[in-house]
Amino acid sequence: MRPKRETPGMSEEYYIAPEDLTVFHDESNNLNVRVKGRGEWAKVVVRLACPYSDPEHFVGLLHDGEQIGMIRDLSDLAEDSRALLKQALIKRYHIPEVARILSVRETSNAAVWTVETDKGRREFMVRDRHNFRRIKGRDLIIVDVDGNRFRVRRGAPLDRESQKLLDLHA
Amino acid sequence: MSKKKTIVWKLDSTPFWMRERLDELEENGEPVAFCFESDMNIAGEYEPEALVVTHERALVIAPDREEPLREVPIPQIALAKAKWLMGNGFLLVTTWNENVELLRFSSSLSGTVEEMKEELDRFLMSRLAWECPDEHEKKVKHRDDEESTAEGEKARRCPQCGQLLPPDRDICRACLSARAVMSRMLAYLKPYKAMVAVTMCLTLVMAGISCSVPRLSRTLLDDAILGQNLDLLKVVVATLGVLLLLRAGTAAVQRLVTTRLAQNVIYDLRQAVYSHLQRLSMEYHDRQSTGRLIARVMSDTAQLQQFAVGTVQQFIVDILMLVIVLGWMMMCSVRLTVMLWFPLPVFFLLVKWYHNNVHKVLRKAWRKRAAMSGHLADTIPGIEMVKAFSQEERAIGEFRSISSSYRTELVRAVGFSAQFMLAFMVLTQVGTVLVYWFGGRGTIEGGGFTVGQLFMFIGWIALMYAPVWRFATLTEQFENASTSAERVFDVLDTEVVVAANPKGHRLTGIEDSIRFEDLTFSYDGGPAVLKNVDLEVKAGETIGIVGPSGSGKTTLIKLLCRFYDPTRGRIMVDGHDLAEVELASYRKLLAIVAQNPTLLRDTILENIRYGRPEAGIEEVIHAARTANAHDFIMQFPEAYDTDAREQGSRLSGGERQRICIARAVLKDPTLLVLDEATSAVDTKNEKLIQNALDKLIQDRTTFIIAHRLSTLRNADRIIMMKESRVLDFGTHSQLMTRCDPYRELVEAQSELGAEPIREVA
Repeated sequence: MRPKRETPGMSEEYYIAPEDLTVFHDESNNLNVRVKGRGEWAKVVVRLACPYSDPEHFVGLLHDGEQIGMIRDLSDLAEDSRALLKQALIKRYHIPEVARILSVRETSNAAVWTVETDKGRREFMVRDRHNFRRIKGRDLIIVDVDGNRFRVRRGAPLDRESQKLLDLHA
Repeated sequence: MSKKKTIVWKLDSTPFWMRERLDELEENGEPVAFCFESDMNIAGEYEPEALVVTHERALVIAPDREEPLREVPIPQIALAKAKWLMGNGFLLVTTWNENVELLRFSSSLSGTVEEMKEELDRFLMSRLAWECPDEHEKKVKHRDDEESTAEGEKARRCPQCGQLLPPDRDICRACLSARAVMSRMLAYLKPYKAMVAVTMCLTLVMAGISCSVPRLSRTLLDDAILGQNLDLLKVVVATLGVLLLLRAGTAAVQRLVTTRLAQNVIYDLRQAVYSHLQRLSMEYHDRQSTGRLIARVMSDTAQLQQFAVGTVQQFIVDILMLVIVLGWMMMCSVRLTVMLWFPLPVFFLLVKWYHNNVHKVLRKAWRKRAAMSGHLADTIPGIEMVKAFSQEERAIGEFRSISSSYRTELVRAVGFSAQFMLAFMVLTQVGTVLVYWFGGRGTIEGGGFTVGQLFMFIGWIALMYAPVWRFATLTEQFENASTSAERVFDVLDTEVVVAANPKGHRLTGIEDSIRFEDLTFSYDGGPAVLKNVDLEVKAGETIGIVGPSGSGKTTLIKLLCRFYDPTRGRIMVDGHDLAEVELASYRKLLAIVAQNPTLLRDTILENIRYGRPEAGIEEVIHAARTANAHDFIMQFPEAYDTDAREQGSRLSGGERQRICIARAVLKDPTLLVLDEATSAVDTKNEKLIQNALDKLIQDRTTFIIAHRLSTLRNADRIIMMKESRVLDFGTHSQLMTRCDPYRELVEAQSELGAEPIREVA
């Protein structure tokens, strides 16, 4: 009979305990992390498991394409570490939130949207329904033809005019 | 299924010529066990011959011959078998030293012959058991060792009238009466009685107004204008204005209510069809093309709704309107009304002729259209092949010729209906012109119509012909609707073969064993694709299934998943017959990783938690890590929020499979079924998948259709299948010593450089 192996406790190994983690910038301004008992890595890359559906949790830390581990919840971290990671995440995931839709101009093969976001006014082009990603139970993500992302929050309702435009064109 | 009536001797179904012979045999003290009439003699001529089996011998008789043509004593028969050849087949028996061809028959009898052979087997077996029990044992074991399969799938026939069924339908066109279809369609209006009444009333109001407008214009002409009565003119014009406004208003409201009614009806229908489709067995879905089913949900339901809501109502209103208008016209002038009716018989003959012929013309055009889409369906998905062989010009040329013949046929069809329209116009205009002439002359000569009456009458002509025209096209609409109705009701009437048994035994786990008991399965009464599978698997075991393609591996798995119910025999899970277990509770225990993993148009996250939508992200990540999928998922910019289908083209087969493994891991099934991918996966991917599977199969009962030797390494026991049956079942080392085909398989793969199987201690 084949021996049944124990399922390794890989889950706990993979998630980094918040108290073990220190995040800092080295002198060349690279993101470094130190995990107590495991080691230290430079030039660390942050990745969200669910950048659209859960941007606050499940932050993966990678070094050179290899997984170091994952952080369950940013808010568990020490103040400094959290700020640094947040900053890195904001850089990696630029998804401005749409506050108002000013106009949508339909042309024959694309639509030009003019929106007011939390990062300022922006005009972008979308082509078809593939540009719209509805995230289950959450927000609408618009990916324009160039790959820019915009988030339309479901929680905070838009004004009537914007909502109308959204219903009509998205 | 008891279809014994075709083979067991029954006086009323036995052909007359055979009865005498059978009686004769009985009188001579040789009771007949059963008989079977074939439609062919041994030389292949369509002359009947019959097999008669008594307790002493099997003999073949023919109508014009006194003596039996062939006979074999029962004790000499070792085994009976059916041999299928092209267009015909033979029933053979093997004696100790030779094969005797007993009967020859055409392929139309294949199904009944198969049953007859089973009956014969049973008979032989029972005789043997009675005569010498030892031999019986031996034969039971070797029974069916040799047996061939019938060619192809049999055409299905209507159980009621025996007519051939279309391949995609379960219901016979001939057995579906028009009235039944009608009443069923109208049944969908029932919940909306009030709405139906409202729209009918509104339509009637509109019709009434339409009818009275000519009446008012008569007063306008005769009494107001010609009578120079300004006051009356004011009243009449005001009334007309109000009536016309009212009609416009009614029309708007009627349209609104009808639309709502129509959408309600179609919503109900669509929902009924779709939910029934979801519940229908795999057997049904195997037979249907996706495109056809989509068409049924989308367009056939719409067509039906159009008929039930639009056409039927219009028909009732038209009849009422025709009666009213005709009554008024008759009251006005019998002579002129008759004159208008005079061309109508010709007209109805014309309509009949038109319907008889328009189909022929249209069908030609449709056929060309089908050829065109067939060509597109071939050459566009196959564009790579077309280009690779640089056949673009040929494809263009073929398309040009199909397309142009479609154009020609369509123009011809339209031309044909234009001719019909012309004839209709001429006939109706003749009536109108006659009214102008005779009515006008009567007005001038006096004693006939007043000017107002004449115009009123002419106004009514238009109102009369409109319903007549609609009646003419009614049959066409009815035909369209009933075709759609057939398709829709075909879905709704197809029985859910695999019953869900909501009240059956609720399984909560598999504690003890899964037992296959004499499991036999054939699709739709065709040749058996799985025969007499008898084996027991203990809970927690990992079972590898190997064998050449077409040996029944996948069928075994499909039966285990209860996508189909066995034709004979049963599957016992912890002592409960799977066919009687609550299906949902069983499927909850089950996870399948298919050979061609299906991903839904949703994020990877939702795809992984498809079996357990309530699972949290952490569980999903854990499952993905177990399946060795997490790392590559994290490489995507959108990670778990990546759309699995859009990324689809970029997801490799191995990656897709690992996502599906993660899906299975998350479900944490008690029973795991894996159809291992045969598609070439690179070594690195294979290792990752293998590693994922190793983790997955721990602590559960697992069935794996194995193509790689490395998979078999993990199997506790292995089922070796060949030609629809289980050749052997045992551990790797057992099979290596006693099962030659297995050893050959392993050696062949080892020669190719695959690592040899090591028995894990």
